[in-house]
Amino acid sequence: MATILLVDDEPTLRSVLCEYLRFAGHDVVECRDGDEALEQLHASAVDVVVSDVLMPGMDGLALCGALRASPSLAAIPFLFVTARTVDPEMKAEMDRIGNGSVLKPFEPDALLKAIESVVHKQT
Amino acid sequence: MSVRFSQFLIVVVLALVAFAFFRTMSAYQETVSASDVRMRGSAIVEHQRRRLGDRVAAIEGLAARMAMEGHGFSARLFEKAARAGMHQDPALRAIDFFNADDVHVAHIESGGARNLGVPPTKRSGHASPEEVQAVELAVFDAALSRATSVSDIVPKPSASNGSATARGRFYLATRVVRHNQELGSIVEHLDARDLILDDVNRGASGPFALSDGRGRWLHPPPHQPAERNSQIFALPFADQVLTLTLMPPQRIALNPWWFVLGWLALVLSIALPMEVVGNINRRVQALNEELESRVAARTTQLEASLEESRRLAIVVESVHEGVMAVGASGFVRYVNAALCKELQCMPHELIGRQISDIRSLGISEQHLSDIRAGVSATGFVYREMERHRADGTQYVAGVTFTRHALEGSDALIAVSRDVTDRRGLIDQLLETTRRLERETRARADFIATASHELRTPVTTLRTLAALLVDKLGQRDTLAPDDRRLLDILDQETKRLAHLVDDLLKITKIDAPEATLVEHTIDLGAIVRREIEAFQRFGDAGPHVELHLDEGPAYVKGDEEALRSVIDNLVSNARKFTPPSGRVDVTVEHDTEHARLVVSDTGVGIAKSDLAHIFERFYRAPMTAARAPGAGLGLAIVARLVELMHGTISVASEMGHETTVTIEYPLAAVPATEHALESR
Repeated sequence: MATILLVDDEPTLRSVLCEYLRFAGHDVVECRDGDEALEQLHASAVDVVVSDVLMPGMDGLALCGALRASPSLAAIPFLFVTARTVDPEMKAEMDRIGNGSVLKPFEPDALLKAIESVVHKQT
Repeated sequence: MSVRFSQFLIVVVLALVAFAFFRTMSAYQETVSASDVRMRGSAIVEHQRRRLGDRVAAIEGLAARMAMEGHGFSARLFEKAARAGMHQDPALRAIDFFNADDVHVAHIESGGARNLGVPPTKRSGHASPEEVQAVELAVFDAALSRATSVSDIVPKPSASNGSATARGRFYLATRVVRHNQELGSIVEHLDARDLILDDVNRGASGPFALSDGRGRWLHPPPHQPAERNSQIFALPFADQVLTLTLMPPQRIALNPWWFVLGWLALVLSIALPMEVVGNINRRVQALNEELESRVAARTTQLEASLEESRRLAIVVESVHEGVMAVGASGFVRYVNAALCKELQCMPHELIGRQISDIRSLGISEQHLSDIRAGVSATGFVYREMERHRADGTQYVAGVTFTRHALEGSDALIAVSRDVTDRRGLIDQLLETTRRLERETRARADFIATASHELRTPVTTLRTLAALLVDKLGQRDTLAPDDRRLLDILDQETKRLAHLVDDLLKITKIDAPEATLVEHTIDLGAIVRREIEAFQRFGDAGPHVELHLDEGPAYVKGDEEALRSVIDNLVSNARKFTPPSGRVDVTVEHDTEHARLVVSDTGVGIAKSDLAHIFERFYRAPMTAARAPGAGLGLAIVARLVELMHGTISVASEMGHETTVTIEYPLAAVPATEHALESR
């Protein structure tokens, strides 16, 4: 049972994932992009952030960077959801500042396991 | 040797001939000199006879004339007349006139007209030698005056000393007719030696001897005994006969053997140089012959090579390709018939011209220097260039330039042929290839775009399906048919997601610029982790057995890619192996390579399929029926292996086994912390 901040610019996928994760027993906060997510993070506590990388506005990497830069939020685990075509520098940056990544298309089951794994590690 | 002997023989024969010649010459000379002596002797005898006769006649004539003319005897007058006669005839040396009755006062005069005698009465004491001699002479003269023939004449005492008598002087006395005692006598004292020797000397012109009838020598006899060729002549002198022995003129006595030796020396001095010259001649001749034979051999060789050259020239002229030789300074030296035919021109339009000036060849200065650089770098250069025929049409010539073997590095040989047709085909082919590449690229791009666009909806679908299965699956009211449909939805969305994932993977690694990160990773450790995951599944599939060599096997590469490779291979092996079979995964390494071997006891791969299994979307007919898949797994594996500088090979026996072997170059052992990290 964790609070997940889910950031994705694709509304359908976001709502389906939300539904899936909630069915799995987690609290899910949805955000459309990085800016919104950052606001949300300051507003309420979350256990883990799951974010798409490529988004209009503040993208996943920027969001994670902001998170790591903020003293109060720096400890929150951060999972990237990304495409395989992402270039190596971005991949390296993601590995450096994030806690893991899940490649699209993914098995929802695998995402769930990854989330539970980082949350479990955190607690 | 035989030559020497014959020469010796010739010399001997020549010497004999010389000897015979010498003898003949000597005999001839003797004959000639004998007749010469005879002639001279006769001449002398004749001459003397005439002269003596003349003198005696002259003196007698003088006396007679004086007597008959009645002058009476006058000694002075006679003397005067006699001196005149002496003057005319130098042979008359002294003429004394004496009067028998007045003998003691007679004037005795010598040739120098000096009066030697003085009357004994006019002096006292002993007589001087001159006086004694004068008296002796007077006595002699008196005796002489009494002589009636020459044989009565006694020897005359010497004018100087007694020895003169011993030398045997001979006097000629002529008695004047004494028809009157008072008249006295005229006696001519003639020194026969002086008189005759003069003449004989003049006429003899050679050694001679003269003796009187009593064997006394008037002229010293020759020192050598009289020669064989000496001749004796009787020389009438007054009432005596003298003996004149004439010898032939003295010749240098020559030993015939010296003559022969001289001849031989002459012959040798001529023959030896001739021999030397002959030898030189022979050697020159031998050398000449050798030279001629060598010249002949060389000529044969040259003719052969000329023939060869001619044959080669015919070959070059006969080939279908155009051949051109270009000198180091860029002048065309030679073109063959084929090139002229190609260009529709005559050889003289090309030969001797600068190659860059010949428009039809289409070679500029720049081209030429590029070609030369290429030829000196790699030995030959191939160019395709447009050429212009004389009629204005064009064609493409494929020209191979090579170095001219004889004329230095800048001289070229160009062999060309019309490749217009081939060029067209190649252009067409290249165009097709480019179009295919474009199309392939477009297709790949399309796949990439499509799969990229697909990933979000597929993820949505997949998540939705999973949610449905989870949510509906819990309901007991679900009809069995619906449950089956739900399972189909679950499976197919999974398969769709997998397909899209594979497509995205291959799109990524297929890009020409694709590279992998290169960490040093332990192949054994990674394989162990992956295999343990498989073993944990515990599903109904065949058992996976791991065999690891001792110690790490470091390779350079990307761990994720390596995991993907292992995952693919082991999944494949399990997929095609019955649950009762087994899958063996082996990692081994030597000093240079690390090997990952995945073998199974599955269905195997047909030989006809082996060559294609790494192609994209290729599915063996039998496989397609047995297991789902897009045919991308092995293509991805092969590409990932390649990106990690490895090699992959497959061996299989239908119905028994399949073995996939991957070999990576071994990497250096990393620093300790890296090694720990990768574990």
